[in-house]
Amino acid sequence: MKNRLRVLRAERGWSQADLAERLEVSRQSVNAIETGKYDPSLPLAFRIARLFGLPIEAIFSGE
Amino acid sequence: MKGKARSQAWVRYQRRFWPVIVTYAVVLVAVIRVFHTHPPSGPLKYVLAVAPALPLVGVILVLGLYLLEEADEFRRLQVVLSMLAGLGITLAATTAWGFLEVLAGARHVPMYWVFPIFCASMGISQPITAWRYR
Repeated sequence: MKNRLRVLRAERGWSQADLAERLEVSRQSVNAIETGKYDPSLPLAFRIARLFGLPIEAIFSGE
Repeated sequence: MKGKARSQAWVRYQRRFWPVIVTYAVVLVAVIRVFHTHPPSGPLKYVLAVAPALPLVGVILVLGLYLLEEADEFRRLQVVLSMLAGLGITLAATTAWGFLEVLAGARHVPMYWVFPIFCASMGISQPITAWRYR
């Protein structure tokens, strides 16, 4: 699954650690999601979407 | 604490793990000494013989509690994958050794080695699992 997490994070000037703290996960989790090595659960995907104020499909795509 | 290298659940795991493992070491040494100096008999023999295994059951419970309490799903996945790898290695090694014992006359290995083999296998697989998700 592809995602725009790195771009969205960079637009806000957040580091991976900043985003991790806001999502209440580890920095390693953010890195694994950004690099596409780990697909988040639905609850975490909703938390990410809420944080950026976007629908899930604007961040994650199944391609 | 979140977003940092160690989660609250991991800190709690460490606080639980070390007292249990120290208890194991103390009980093990004490039981071995008793069996060497004053070999027990009757039901006491069985109670004392099984005593060192009880703290190890505690270690399994402590690990299970960590999995229940870890709020970071990615960390949880990594630990579960390491446990599965450890379990697979342990099952493969002990099953193969069992056949070697029965069919090829290999030296008998006491079953209490199964738990240390599992822990060592899980320990070896942890950095490999972490490396996969770098």
